[in-house]
Amino acid sequence: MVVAAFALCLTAGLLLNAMRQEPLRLRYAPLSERIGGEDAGHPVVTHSGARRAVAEGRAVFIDARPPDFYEEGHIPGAINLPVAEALGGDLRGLPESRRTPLIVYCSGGDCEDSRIVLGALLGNGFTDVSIFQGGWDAWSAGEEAR
Amino acid sequence: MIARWLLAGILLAAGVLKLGDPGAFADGLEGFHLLPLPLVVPLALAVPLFEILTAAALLGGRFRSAGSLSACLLTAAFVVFYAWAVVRGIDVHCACFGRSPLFRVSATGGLLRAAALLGLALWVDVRLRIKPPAPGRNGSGER
Repeated sequence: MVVAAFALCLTAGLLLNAMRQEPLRLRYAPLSERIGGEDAGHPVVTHSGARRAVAEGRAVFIDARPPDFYEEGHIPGAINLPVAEALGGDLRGLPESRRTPLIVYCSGGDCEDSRIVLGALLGNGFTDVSIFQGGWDAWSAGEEAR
Repeated sequence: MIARWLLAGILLAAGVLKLGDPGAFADGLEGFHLLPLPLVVPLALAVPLFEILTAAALLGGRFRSAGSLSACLLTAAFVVFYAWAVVRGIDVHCACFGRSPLFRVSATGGLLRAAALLGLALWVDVRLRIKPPAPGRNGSGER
């Protein structure tokens, strides 16, 4: 009975989706595809580049992880902007100038949050946004190795 | 009965909130890196309705046992997903209650929440199964 109920829900879900104004594509498209290719063609910052940027204060780091992860540790000076806030347009605490270089990071590896936040920042008029792909994992590993 | 109503209420809220934004739930599911991509969107479309149906079954009279079994399966699946995220160290948020930051938790928090829900679902299921049948007209418990 449970399997039949789930099949019913699947059918109903597909029908409801088909009736939406903007139905979801049935084949999931990774965010990097949805926002236009590998990191949307925006610059990617290496670990050494991130370290230089921190040392020289050349950019503002944006930590896209949830607040509890941020509180456990973050790149010095980074501003926490989790996905929900970025998508909701809550950009309090970010620089006034839309030309300020921003470097977004999340945990590293396959995490998507930095790409989502990057899209939101670009949508809000910031023009110089990069992604630190190594993210917190690479940064903290680098700090430990020093 | 309170546990059953509580479980039904949570599942109903989760289902309704997800139903309004299946795209967010699909992103959340994909974030676990556990499902093959072709399954992500169909599941994101089906699970909210299944949660609502499960909640309705838990509240209804005839399908309570099926509802409690469904609730156990659903919450066990959530436990597996979050345990996977914790083990793999994945920074994940499933949008299980929509995109609201109010319900965002870390993977460990999500695992604890899912485990608590599984415990509640198991409690309801066991209680429903050991409950003696309602007495028949002759009071013997048989019709």
